[in-house]
Amino acid sequence: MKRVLIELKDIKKQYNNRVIIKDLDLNIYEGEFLTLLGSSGCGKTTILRMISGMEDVTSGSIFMNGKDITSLEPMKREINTIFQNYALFSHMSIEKNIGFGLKMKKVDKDEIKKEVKKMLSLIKLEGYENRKPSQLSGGEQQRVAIARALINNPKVLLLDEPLSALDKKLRKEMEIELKMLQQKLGITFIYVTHDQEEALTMSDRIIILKNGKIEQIDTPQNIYKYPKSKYVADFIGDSNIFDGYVKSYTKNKCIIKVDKVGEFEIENKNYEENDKVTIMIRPENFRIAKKGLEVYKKEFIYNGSTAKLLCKTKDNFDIIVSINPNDFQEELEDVLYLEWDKEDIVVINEKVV
Amino acid sequence: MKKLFNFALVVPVIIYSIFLIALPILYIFILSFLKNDFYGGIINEVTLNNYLSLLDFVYLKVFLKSFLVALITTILCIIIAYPFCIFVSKKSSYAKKIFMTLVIIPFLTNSLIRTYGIIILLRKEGIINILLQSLNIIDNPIQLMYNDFGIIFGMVYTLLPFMILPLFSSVDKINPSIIEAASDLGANKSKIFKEIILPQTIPGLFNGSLMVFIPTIGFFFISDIIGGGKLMLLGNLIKNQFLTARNWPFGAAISIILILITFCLVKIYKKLGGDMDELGGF
Amino acid sequence: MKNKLLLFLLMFTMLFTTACEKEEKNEIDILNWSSYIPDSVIRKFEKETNIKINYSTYSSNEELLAKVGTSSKGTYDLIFPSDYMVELMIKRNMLEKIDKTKLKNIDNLNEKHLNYEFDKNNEYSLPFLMATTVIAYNKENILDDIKSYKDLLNPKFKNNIVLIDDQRIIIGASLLANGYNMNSTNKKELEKAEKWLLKLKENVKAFDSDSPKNFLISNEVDIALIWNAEAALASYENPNIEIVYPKEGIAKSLDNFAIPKGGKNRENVYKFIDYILRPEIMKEIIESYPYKNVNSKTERILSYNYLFNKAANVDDETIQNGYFVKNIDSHIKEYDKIWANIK
Repeated sequence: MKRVLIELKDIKKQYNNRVIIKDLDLNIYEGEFLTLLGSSGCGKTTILRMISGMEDVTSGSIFMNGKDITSLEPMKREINTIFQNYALFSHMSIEKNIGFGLKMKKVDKDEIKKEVKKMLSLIKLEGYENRKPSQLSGGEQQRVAIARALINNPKVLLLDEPLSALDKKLRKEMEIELKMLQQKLGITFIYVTHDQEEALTMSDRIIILKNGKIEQIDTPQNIYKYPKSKYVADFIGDSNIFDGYVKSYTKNKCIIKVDKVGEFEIENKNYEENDKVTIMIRPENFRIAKKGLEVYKKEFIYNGSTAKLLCKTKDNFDIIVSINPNDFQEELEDVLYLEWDKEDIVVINEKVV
Repeated sequence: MKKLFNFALVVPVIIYSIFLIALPILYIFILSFLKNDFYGGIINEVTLNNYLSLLDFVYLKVFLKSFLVALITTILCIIIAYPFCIFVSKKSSYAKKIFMTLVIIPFLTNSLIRTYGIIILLRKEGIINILLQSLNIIDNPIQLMYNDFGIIFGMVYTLLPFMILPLFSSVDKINPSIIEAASDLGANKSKIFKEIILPQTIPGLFNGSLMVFIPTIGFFFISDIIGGGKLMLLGNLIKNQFLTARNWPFGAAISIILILITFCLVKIYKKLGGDMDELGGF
Repeated sequence: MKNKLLLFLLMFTMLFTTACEKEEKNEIDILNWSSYIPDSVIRKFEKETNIKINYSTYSSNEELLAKVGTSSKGTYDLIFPSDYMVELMIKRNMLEKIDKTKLKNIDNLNEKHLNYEFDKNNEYSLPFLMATTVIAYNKENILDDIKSYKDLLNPKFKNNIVLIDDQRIIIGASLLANGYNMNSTNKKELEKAEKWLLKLKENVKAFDSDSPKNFLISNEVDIALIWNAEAALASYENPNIEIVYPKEGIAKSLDNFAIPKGGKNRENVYKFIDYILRPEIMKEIIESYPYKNVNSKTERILSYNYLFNKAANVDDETIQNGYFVKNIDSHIKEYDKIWANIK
C-alpha cells in the first residue's frame, strides 16, 4: 500500500480574472512516476509550478508528509525541478552547475567534489567536470540538469517537458533511461508532457487534464483500455468513437444503433430504449473478415512496424483499422468487411456534470 | 556588382572614421611631443617634457582626484542601476519600453542645460532643501552644491542612463528560468545576484562602467557649474591648457594619457574573458 | 607647421559641409565677448545700414586666440582682444593696421585711454571699454568692514565668497595682497601667493566667470571679487551691496577693437566701429553693461545712475593705480601649476 506523499486539496488558481484551475484534489504517492498529460493551456505546468512553489496558490492547500507547505518558499521544499530548456548556468562549469545546490546548502567543498563525481558517473558523463554547458549536446545538457537536481536528494523531482527539445530517437532512449533512473532511486517523479506516448511509456499513473480539470487518473493500461470520456479516448491512442442510442434490449444484451455505421451488440447495463450511449473500439480490435461491417478503402498509413487503414462506411463515416504492415495496399480489396469481439467494445461513461 | 555596392555603403563610415577619429588622434599624438611657445603657437622641436611634467605631484593629484570622482560615480551608478534593471526586466514588454523611454528622455535635452537644471534641485533655496525643511527633517538649508557632494550628484545624475542602458540590455537577456532554477536549488535573493545575475551581466556591467568612468573624468562643466569651479578634474586641466595656459602640447599629452587609459581598461576586460561583440553595442 | 596640418584637416572637413568660398557679401563677421554689446545696438545698425552682422562670442582672451588662430584667414572681420592679447597678437602678426582716416568718430575716444604700452600709437587697436576688478559685499549681512584683500581671510567669511574663475586675476590678487607686483614671476613671491590662496579657498564658495553677480543677488554668498560691471549690476538690484576698491590695488583690462589679418568687409567694419563710437550708442552699451566708459562724448550724456555708481564709473585714480595683466611667456606654466594646486 503506497503512502501518500503530497496532497493537493481544493486548489484554485486565478490570474487577474481568469480562473485556470478550480476544485483540484489530488493525492500523489511516494515513489510513483506520475504524469500530468494534456494539450497546451490545460494547466499541467501551472500545477507543477504550484507544487514546486514557483507559483502561488489562489486558494486551497498543499501538504507534504502531512505538513502544510502551501506558503513555503521553493528552496525550503524538498522538491527540485528540471526545466524545459534545462536552464543550466551558462557561465559555470558542469561541475559548478551540478554542485550548485550543495553549495547553497553550504556543504564542504571537498564533499561537493565527491558528490559531483558520483553524479557524473550516474549520468554517464565522467570527466565532464570542466566543460561548459555550451560545449554539450542537448541530450548531455539534459542529463546534467537531472544530475543538478538529483544531487540534492529531493523527495520529489518535477520534470517540465524535459524531452521536448530532443530528436525522436534520443527521446525514445531518454524515456527508458528516465524510467530506469526513477525506479533505481525510488524518488517520486512528477512529469509534465503533452506527448501521450511518453506518458504511456514511463508512467505509473497518468492524469489527463482538460481546461484545468482532471478528466481521468489511472494507470496507462486502464486509461488506454477504459477511457472514461470521449476526450480521453480521443487523446490517448487512435480510437473509433461511435455515438449511438439503444435500439432494443433484452435482459443480457443491448443493441446500440449508430447512424451511418451500423449496429453493435453490448452487454446490458440497465439501459432503456433510446438511451444515448457512446462506444469505442480501438483500431487493433477490428479484424478484416469475410463478412461483417461493410467498409471502403480510403487511405493506407504505413509506420514501419505498424500500419493502419483508414476506411469509410457506405455513409462516409471514417473508421481506422490496424493491419499487418506487410499487407500491401494493392492486395486489399476495395470493399472490406470488419468484425470484432463483443468484449472489445468500450462503453464511455461521460461524467455527468 | 553586389560587392561594389556593399563597399560603397561602407565608404562613408571609413571616411568618417579616418577624418574625424583617426586623423585627429594622430594630430594630438604628434602634438604631444612638440614644444610650446607660450603664445599659443607651437615650436617644431620634439620633446618629452610634456609627459615628464605630468609626473609633478600637483598634476598627479589631479589624476588621482579625477579617478576617485570617476570611481565613486561609477560605483554609485552601479548600485542604483542594478536594482532598477532587475526590477524592469521582470515587467511586461510594454512596461519595459515605457521605462526605457523614460530613461532616454533626458538625452533629448542638452546635458549642459540639464546641469543648470540640477541647480534648481540643489541650491540653498532649491527644491530638496525646501522639501527637507518643510518636512522638519532639517532646520537650516544644507549645502548640496559647490562641494564634492554636488559634483558627484551631478555626475551620477548625468551619467546614470549610460550605465542603465547597457546593463539593462545584459540583465534582460538573462533567461528567467535560470533564475528560477537557482531559486529551486536553494539560492536566496542575494545569492542569486552574486552567483547568477552578476556573472551573466559582466559585459553590460563593464560596458556601462566604461561609459560612466571615462566621461566623468572629462566633464569639466559639471565641476565648474555644480562644483563651483573648486575641483580641477582632468577635463578641467585639459581645457585650461587649450584655453588659458595656451599650452596645446601639454593638453595633448594629457589627452593621450586618457586615451591610453581607456585602451588599457578595454584590454583588461578582454583579458578577463569579456565578449568584445557584446561590448560593442546595445 | 603643425597648425598647417590642422588647417588641412579642417579644410577637408569643410568639404563635407557647405564648401562655399567666402564671397564679399554685405555683412560683417564679428567675434566679441559675450555680454558686451546688447542686441538692440546690433539690430539698430543692421536696420540703418542693411549690413548683416554675424555675431559670435568668447569668454576669455585665450578662447579668442584659439578661435582666431585655428580658423582660416577671413573667418572674422572684427575682434575685441584685451590689452595683453593685443600685444601678443601683434607679436604673432595676427592683426591688420587700422586706417584711422576711415573713422569719423575717432576723436570721441578719451585720450586718457590711448597710447598704452601694449600698442603705442594705437596702430592696431582702439579702445572699446575698460573693466576693473572690485570687491562687492552685502552690507546687510556683513557687519565688518572690508577694505583690503587681507580682510577676505576673515574666518567669519567661511564659504561666503565668490571669485571670478580667472587664474591670472586671482593669483594676481593674491600677489597684490602680499604686496607684490600683480604680474610677478619671482618664485618665492609666487609660493607665498599660493599659500595665501590656499587659505582664502576655505572661504570660497565658488569660482564663477559666467554670472557671479547672481551669487550676490540670490544671497548665495555675501562677498564677491568680480569685474566692476557685474558688481554694478548687483548693486542696482540690491542697494545694500557695497563696492570697495581694495587698497592694495586692482586689476584693469582694456578691451579694444582690432581687425584680424585677412578680415574682409573692411568698409563695413569701419562703418561699424564708427557707429559704436557714436556717443548715444556707447551710452546704450555702457548702461546695459556698466563697464568703465572710454568715450569722452558719451561721458556727458550718461545717466546719474551710472555716474554715481562706484563700480560702474571707476574713478581715475583707481584706474591709474590699477594693473594690466602682462604676458609672462614661459612663466605661465608656474601660474598654471599653482592654479591646479588650488583647485
